Amino acid sequence: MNEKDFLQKVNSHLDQQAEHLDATTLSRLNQARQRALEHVKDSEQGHITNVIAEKHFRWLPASAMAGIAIVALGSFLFLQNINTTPEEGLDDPLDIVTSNNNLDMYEQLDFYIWLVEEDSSAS
Amino acid sequence: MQHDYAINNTAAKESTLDKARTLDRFLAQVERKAFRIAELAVSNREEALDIVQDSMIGLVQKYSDRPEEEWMPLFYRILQSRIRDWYRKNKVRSKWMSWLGFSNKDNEGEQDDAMASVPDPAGRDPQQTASNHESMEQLDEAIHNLPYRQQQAFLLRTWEGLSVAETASAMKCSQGSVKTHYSRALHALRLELEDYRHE
Repeated sequence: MNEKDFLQKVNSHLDQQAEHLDATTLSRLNQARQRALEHVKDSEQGHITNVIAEKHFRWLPASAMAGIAIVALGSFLFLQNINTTPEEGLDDPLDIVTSNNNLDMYEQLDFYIWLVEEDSSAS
Repeated sequence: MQHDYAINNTAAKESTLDKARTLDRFLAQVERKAFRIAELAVSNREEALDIVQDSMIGLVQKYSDRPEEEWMPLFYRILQSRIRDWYRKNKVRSKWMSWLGFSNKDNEGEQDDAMASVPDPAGRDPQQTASNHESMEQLDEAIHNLPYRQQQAFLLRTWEGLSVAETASAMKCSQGSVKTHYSRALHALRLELEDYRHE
């Protein structure tokens, strides 16, 4: 028997065996296949959920980013104000507190109050 | 916006159904051969069924998005991987079996197949195997007795029709190794069956 005929015989025999699997085995294989296919629905459900989230909550990431940007800008400005010379006429408490040049004055506030009182009593 | 969502959701559901149907068709096509290939490798029906189920789930989970023409080699790659895992788990048991003088499919021709020298428990005389039915039984036994890699290379190439490259990918070996395993398997099978025919 040449190789081609031999292989044909082998394939035919194996095909016959596969065709005549018992009912229990076929049922188990069918169950296995159905269980595997459930994973298609699971993975697609996850995909659909993502699509819905993207559709309805598209604004959410943008607002979150905006919030982060505002906080970042505020922090930047806050840190900038610490190192800059205070402008005249600053009477906002935050401006006063963040102005380095005035800090010494507030540390010696009692002294300056006393000085003013002394001037007043002298005049 | 709600209209768009409804359209997209329907389209997504249809796409899921299409994919499920295509996968179902593919898995139904391969399940019987995959089961027989696994059963010949592990000689245990329940283990073979578990291996096939794991392989199906693996394909669906990891590769269902790949083109359909890639599923066959990918599925058998997973199947071979599961079979190797089974061998690793049973390595201790196999070592004992080998020590006790029974064949170990893991060893590629390193040991003689001791099972072949065990007398046929059914008491059949080789001369009585002239009939087609019995020669098929001998073929079964011959395939079953092949060392694991020879057996799997032979089945994937001959029966499932995978190319050398696809078989090499499935078995995680070189194409040269596939050709070697295959030719050794073919030689061993023809020799064994011709021996029975001539007796």
